[in-house]
Amino acid sequence: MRPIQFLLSCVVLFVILAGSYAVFVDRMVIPQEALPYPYKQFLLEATSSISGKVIIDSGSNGLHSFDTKILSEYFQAPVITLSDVAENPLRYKIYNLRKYLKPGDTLILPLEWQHYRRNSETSQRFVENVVLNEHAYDYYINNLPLLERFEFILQKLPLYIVINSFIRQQNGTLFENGLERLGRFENVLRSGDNTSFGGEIRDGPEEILPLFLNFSCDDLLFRIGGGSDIGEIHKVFLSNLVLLETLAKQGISIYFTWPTVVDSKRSVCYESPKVREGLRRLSASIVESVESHGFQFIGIPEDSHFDSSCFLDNYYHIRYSCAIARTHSFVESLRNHRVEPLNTQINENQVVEVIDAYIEIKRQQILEEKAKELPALNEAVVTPLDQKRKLLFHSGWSTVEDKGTWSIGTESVFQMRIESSFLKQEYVYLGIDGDYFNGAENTEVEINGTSYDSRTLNDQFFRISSQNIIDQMVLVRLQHSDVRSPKMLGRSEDTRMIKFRLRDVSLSRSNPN
Amino acid sequence: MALVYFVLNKLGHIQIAKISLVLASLFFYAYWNPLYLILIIGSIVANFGIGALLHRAKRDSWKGPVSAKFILICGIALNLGLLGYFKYTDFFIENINLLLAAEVPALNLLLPLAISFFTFQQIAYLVDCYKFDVYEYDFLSYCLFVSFFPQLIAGPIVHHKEMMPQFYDVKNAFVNSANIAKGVLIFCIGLFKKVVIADTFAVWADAGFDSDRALTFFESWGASLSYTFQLYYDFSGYTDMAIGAALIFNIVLPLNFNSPYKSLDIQDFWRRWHMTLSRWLKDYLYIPLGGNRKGPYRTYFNLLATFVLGGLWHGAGWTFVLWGALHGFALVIHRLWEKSRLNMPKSCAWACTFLFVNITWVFFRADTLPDAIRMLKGMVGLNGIVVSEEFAAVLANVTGQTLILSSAAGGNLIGTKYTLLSILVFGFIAFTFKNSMEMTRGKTYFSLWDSLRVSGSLLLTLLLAIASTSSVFLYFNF
Repeated sequence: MRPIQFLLSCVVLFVILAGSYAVFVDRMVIPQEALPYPYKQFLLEATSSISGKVIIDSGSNGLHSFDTKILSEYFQAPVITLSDVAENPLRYKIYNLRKYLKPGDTLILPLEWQHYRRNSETSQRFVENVVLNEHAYDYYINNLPLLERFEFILQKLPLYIVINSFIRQQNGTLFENGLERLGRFENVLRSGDNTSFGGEIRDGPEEILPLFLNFSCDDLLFRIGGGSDIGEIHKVFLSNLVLLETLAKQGISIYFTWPTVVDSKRSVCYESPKVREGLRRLSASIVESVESHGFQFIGIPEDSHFDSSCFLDNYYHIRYSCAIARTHSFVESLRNHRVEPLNTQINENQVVEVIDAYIEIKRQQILEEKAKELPALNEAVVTPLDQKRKLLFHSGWSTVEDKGTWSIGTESVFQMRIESSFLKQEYVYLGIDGDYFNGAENTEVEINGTSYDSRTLNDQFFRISSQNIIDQMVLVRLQHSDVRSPKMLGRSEDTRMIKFRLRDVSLSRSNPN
Repeated sequence: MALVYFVLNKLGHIQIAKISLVLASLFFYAYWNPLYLILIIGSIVANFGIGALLHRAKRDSWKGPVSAKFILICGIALNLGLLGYFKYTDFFIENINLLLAAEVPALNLLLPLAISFFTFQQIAYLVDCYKFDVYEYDFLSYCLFVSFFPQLIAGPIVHHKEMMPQFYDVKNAFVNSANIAKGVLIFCIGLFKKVVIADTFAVWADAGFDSDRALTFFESWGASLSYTFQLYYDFSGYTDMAIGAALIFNIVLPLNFNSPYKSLDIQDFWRRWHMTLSRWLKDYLYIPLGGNRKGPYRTYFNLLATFVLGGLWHGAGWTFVLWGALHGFALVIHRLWEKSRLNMPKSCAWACTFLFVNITWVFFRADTLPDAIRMLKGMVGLNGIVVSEEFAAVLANVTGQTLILSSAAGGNLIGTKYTLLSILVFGFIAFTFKNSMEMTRGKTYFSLWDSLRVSGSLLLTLLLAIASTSSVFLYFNF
């Protein structure tokens, strides 16, 4: 190539390489998880079909300040807290909300001070949470428009994290099992406290987290490094306001309110006259900007400033009773600002039903996906060592142990895949072997919808018609009776409702008995 | 910048183009700390003035109150005084305190960027003005000679005789696509060396040399070899970038590295490593001291003195002095060996030279002499021979022997398979491959592979810069 051709080819190749890399990372390193890692994001996705709900999104002050039940009573609508940590860019949050919110929904933003300032940088913790650490924040990136996704990959995602994530994914060491994840979500949903709807209001140790030990309140809130200049509103926030307008145009009502801040015994928030003066200017310019984009600002900063008796563990986190008071005062402010209830006419139980249905859909999707990955089995015995890989435990099972897997509850279901050569003959023989806890050694067995007589599953074989095996799949449903936990019997602290321990599963072409 | 420079030249504003290049260079310099700007501008003005005085003093008609020699001595003293004040005052105070048990407070002066480089360049100019019939340059070209941004920060240490004619050559003022293409290629090779290779080795070298505990055998070798390759790829990478960037402006900078780790003896090493510094030390220190013209013992002394001062030039610390002295001794031994007419197989000669250079880099890198000794103890196995399980597995694969002597504590990076693999791969490249200058010499046609190297280096730099741990070029410190 001549020099000019060479220089042009460098530019073209650079674009091709950068584009290929971005596509590779987008497709292979940032996967589309079937389920998000955080429960609150799951709540948002599960309730996306409900129109007329209220979402609170911000940093952690939003988690510790609002009681969803009180707000739900005021709005006459379901309320979900989506807040996580302040360092997560507001822009990504807005794109995420844009995907799931429906016309008629309400968004409350008790943004933290750094959201009004430079908030476009992504912390190392954030990027690691996108592609490592269980892909805790992958949805933030997946819900970005294509060009912004590429911008994230090429400008904010360090190469070593990409390589690390790719290697770990190939080794299969990164993900929490989707079914385990669903189980975790079900547990939180059924907990019955404020965490069911994403909140985290609680009492605690009244001790500052070690991470914040060296910061005064104003240092932490405004990142002023011991100074008093709290800075001005940043253009990044102004561009976020423009993005929020697109949400408003979709019929979503958006309200801003001030972040909850709390003094500690060693540091008072908004303490120095200079900070107070800076705060007065900053808050006035924030309100002006917000209102100029057509949004309402609820309350004044002092409404959400608490004394040290409310301190939980950092300057944004308040104790339970203070959160209740904060929620009541916020409701009062809503009334004063004539924010009307939504009257969605959906009560808490109905929301839980919607979420339950969503869980079931997701469970089926995950099972279908996992079933495709099952290895086809031949005459070999599936021992406890192989169970995790060769059997798909649908429901009613504890974790796989060295000596087998205990059933949990009255029904346990597992699935397996049979090698196609087996199906050329009329019958296949399925062996199940295990032992029991606390007598009642009798199990009802159903295989691919066919019931077998109740028996003790100790080296038992079942004849299955090949015609009854569709797509090489065998689904085994076991019904147990008189199920109790070791704790109920006073034998140990184990609360699992166990009965049958599945040891070996085997396949045979002829009847071994 | 190149675009502005060439457009101005094309429009016939050659002086303005030159001014723009000087201003851009000074901006580049001031970017780290604007206060330094006063120092470099002062130094340029003063040295140009002294040079002008020397020119006049050498004329027969000179009736000034002092001789040219006096002016030269004053000029050199001024330059060395400035360098000494900023670079060596605290070192001096520290040693006085140690010797006299005094408590003179350190000045904690911030070392101005590149002061060692522009001081040497200008001393050479003054000496040449005194000794030879140097053409009297105009002030603007002189400013450009000292401040030209590609070589300003960490060399090569350019000589006025090789630079000034290029600044005056009119055809260099216009776009030369072949030079731009070649410059971009060389720049990107340097960028790759620095960002991808040197910075990777830096992690292991830093982990080793900054470790609180005494390193064991393999860890010490991992750290010392990592530093050996870090330094080479870092400094030669910077030089490539400087040469490439200068070439875009049609300026050819002198060669500074010629595969030094291929050297077969220590003299050969110094003909290949930081060649412009070696040239300066030879022309302006070793030869003025008498070189090899005053008998063998004086020659040995001159060699030692040159290298001790060369060591001190690199940094104000006894570790640098010792490093320079060791190299001086090695050169003396090399002279004696040559005289003895003994021979050594090439592979042995190469291994001796490389191992010597690697061991002496320990003094160069260690913060203190005890740290260096601790590292060397590790390298001879006095801190135990302990390997990580992972590293042992690699060794077992290679040697067929199980080498786990005991389990290594901690999850540090030294001694992992990646360190070993990197040392083997990039060591092999440094020992056997053509260097960037050999690869690009006389190049007028370019391949797709060249384009891939450029675009790949740029992309990798972009991606690695996202998580940059703010590594600076090592030679910025000198």
